[in-house]
Amino acid sequence: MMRLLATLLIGLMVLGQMAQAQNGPLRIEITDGVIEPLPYAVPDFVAETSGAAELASNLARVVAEDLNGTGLFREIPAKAHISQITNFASPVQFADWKAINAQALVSGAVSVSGNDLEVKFRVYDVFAGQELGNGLRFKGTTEGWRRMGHKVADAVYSRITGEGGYFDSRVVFVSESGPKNDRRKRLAIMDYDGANLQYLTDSSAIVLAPRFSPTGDKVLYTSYETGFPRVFVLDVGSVERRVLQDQAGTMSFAPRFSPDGKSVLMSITQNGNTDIHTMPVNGRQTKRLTSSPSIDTAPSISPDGQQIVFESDRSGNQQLYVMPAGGGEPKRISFGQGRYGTPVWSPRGDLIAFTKQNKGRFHIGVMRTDGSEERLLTASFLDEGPSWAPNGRVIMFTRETQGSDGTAALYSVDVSGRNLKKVKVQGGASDPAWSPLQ
Amino acid sequence: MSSFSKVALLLAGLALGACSNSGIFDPDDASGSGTSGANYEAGSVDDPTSVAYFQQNVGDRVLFQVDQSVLTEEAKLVLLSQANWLLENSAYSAVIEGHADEQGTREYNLALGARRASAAKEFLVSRGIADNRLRTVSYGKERPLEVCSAEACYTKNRRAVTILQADLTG
Amino acid sequence: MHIGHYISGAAHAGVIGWALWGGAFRDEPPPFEVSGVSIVTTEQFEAALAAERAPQPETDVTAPQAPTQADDVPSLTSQTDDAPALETPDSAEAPEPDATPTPPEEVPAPSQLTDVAPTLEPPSEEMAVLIPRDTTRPMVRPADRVAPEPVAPPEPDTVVDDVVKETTTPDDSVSETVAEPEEATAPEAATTEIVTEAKEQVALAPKASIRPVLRPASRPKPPAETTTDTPSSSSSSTDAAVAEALAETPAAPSGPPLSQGEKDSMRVSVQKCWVVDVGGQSANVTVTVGFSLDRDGKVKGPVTLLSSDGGDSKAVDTAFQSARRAILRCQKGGYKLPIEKYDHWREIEITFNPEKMRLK
Repeated sequence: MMRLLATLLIGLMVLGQMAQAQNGPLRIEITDGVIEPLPYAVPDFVAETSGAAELASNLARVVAEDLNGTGLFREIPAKAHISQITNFASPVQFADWKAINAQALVSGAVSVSGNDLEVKFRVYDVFAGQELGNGLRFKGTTEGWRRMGHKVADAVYSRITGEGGYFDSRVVFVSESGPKNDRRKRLAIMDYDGANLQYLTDSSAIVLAPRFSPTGDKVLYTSYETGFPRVFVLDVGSVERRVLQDQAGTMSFAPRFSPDGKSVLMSITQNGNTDIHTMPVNGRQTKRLTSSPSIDTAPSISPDGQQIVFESDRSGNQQLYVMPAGGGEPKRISFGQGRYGTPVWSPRGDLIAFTKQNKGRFHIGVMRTDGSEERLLTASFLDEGPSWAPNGRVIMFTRETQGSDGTAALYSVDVSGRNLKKVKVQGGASDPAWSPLQ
Repeated sequence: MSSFSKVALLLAGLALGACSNSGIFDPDDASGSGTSGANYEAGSVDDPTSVAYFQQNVGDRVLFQVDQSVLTEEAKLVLLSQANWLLENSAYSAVIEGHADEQGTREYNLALGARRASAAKEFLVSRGIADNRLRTVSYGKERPLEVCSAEACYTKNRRAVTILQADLTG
Repeated sequence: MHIGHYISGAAHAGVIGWALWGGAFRDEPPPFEVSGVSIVTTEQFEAALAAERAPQPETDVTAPQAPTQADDVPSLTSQTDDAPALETPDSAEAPEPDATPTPPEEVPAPSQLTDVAPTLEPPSEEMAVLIPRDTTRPMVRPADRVAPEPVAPPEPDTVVDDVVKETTTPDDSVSETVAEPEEATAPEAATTEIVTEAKEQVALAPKASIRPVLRPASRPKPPAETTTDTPSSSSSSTDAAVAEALAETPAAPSGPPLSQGEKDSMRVSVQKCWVVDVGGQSANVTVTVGFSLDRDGKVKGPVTLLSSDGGDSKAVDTAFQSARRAILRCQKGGYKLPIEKYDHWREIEITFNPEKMRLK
């Protein structure tokens, strides 16, 4: 029997060989690769007008810092470059960039006229010897040069990764000072990389957990300025604010905008019981979406506006649940060990980030929206409050250190769990919320 | 404060509660600055109508188990004293603050603090304190009393504190 | 072309017959690959390519997008940029393209050895491959790079290179060839899985301290330039019978096909350069790309996308670019394939499937 089968098989193989010998390509499947930053080069941009040299260099630096900061790219420093780019229009000497193993190359040019700034750039795939996309030009003012740099970096990132960028974005957060038992808190806003810090409130009342509107021009947050925690809405441009929910005998917190920016989800506590409500941002009437004697809080709505994920201790301890946006029967999605809180739907819609407490440690993690493929990205004494970058690729969160002199800081981590790092902010900082791409 | 002294206080409170309103502890005014000719300084710890007396001799706070808002027997005794004191000193209203230790997320701790404050309030109401004299607020983990990251501190931070206010609303 | 059809027909008939017969003997016919006899011509590749990817003209900067406004840039005080504290990557010492002395034979990875040598040799000390034999769980140590084989961090001043070299110094004694001093190089440190902070803290402590060995007492033997095509991994009696029967069959017109070992070596050469962005959408896409090699093993003409599975068009494009970079970058002086079997590797199709990578 074996013999028969073998003979048949051999017949097939021989036939196959003959066929392949004539026409068939060699077929190989690769399932194992390397995870490492992509080496690239971004030489100083070409100054096309006199006096643009400094900006040309600084802009290239902003682009490099943005790309390097992702952990997906590794810059090859200028001193290793073989050829220079002195003319934006000249052909690129790919061999020179191949020789230093630069897989991508960014070239740029800057011209300045009065306050007007113009930046051009191109991205090349060095080993393929071709441009990725077409050259692009941005116009702006010299004052906004950093933003121009972020925009260039976003475009470069997008062309290489195939995904939207997040560099031209901002972060609103709670700036902290003072001792642990008398912490002063105020709202602050900054560029995603920590530049251009501004304060939005003073520190006379505790403020918590700000959240951007989908257009980035408004911020929801919780403030104690009435003596009780209440949800406020603040206009980022004018810094004007108003209370959204002020029914006596209640407190409200954990607000979040719906994807259309027209309504607000929040937790309202009455008689010790906390439920999730929704209300129009320009109205007063709140509608209750959950009604259990449990703590239902930290709601976050899916980008398509159809579902709400939230945390509830209805099972006995904190777990994650998903329910229809209009309310209805919640379905539990977290089943692992420990407690799960502060779920946040990713802007891509594919993942939910959360805080997990287990065995005395805190983690930031992600899972699919049905609760599968849970992956913990961090571990520390206290990590909490994840917020997604606008492209759904990076998560920023609060990390607090242990002990009587413990302080809070902002950290970011790639959704793969790589590239964990502290965000540069002066002083204590907590509760970050990432803006949409501007 | 030892258990014994608490029980003693409790008994004293019960005894006083049984007295008529013409008892000697009637405050002359809301701030408790008046005296009844007794040999203590008005408003001091020794003034039974003072905020300081309430805080230190009656006990202004109750503690909770980890992730719990159920009142312990010990907590009930303290709240009973508070109820009696508030019945005697009707010129005061109170805000009950609920707090949590730092071992929890911010939002959950706010809700947990609210539960604790509410549990304390409900007990006081059940002992005859008018609902409109009591309000609750939660600070979650925002205002710890003790700052170390150990159970010794956490146990003191999981609390509901009754803050007296001179009654303005009646 | 007619011959091709006949062959294909005969092959299919054989396949069907075998499946029927095999089915009579077993409840479930064992699955088998038929891809070996399917025929796709270069013309079809080109047609598929043309349909899927319109050529991208190189245009001049014509600013297709409307220039973005700068008027509503928030009037924030711009601050001078902090001097970027750039870390010098390991690759700072770029190898000179032409001054490279003849590199020593590539140190074979353990998996490469298995198909040429029937007995598995222990990993060479030089590679410092850290696989504890007594644990099923691979040792997890933090390293920025994740690769198929773990690599211990090199000594601090070692230049990162794919090829392990020893530091050589000019010999005082008279020798026929003058040895140039050569910097020590080693592969960049790597782990075999992503070490998140969460994993790191629960990772097993190493059972033995890591030996900082990079300079072994003896160098590993270079792999024999093998041309054997005898399957060596056979164990079942069926396979043995196959091997036996195969040995009896006359050679196909253009010589025997590539052995599994030769295929594996090609696979390993490319996968070393396949950089996967595991957090990206492109990690959901499997692409198959085709290309031609010249007789030196160098890529001739374009690398083209043949098919893809999963993801949107942008993700597919990104996955394709990553695959193309792997093929072009790792060819170096040309892929090392047996010249006498050129007809078998003139055309190559590689499928890049990142599924396994996503779970690292």
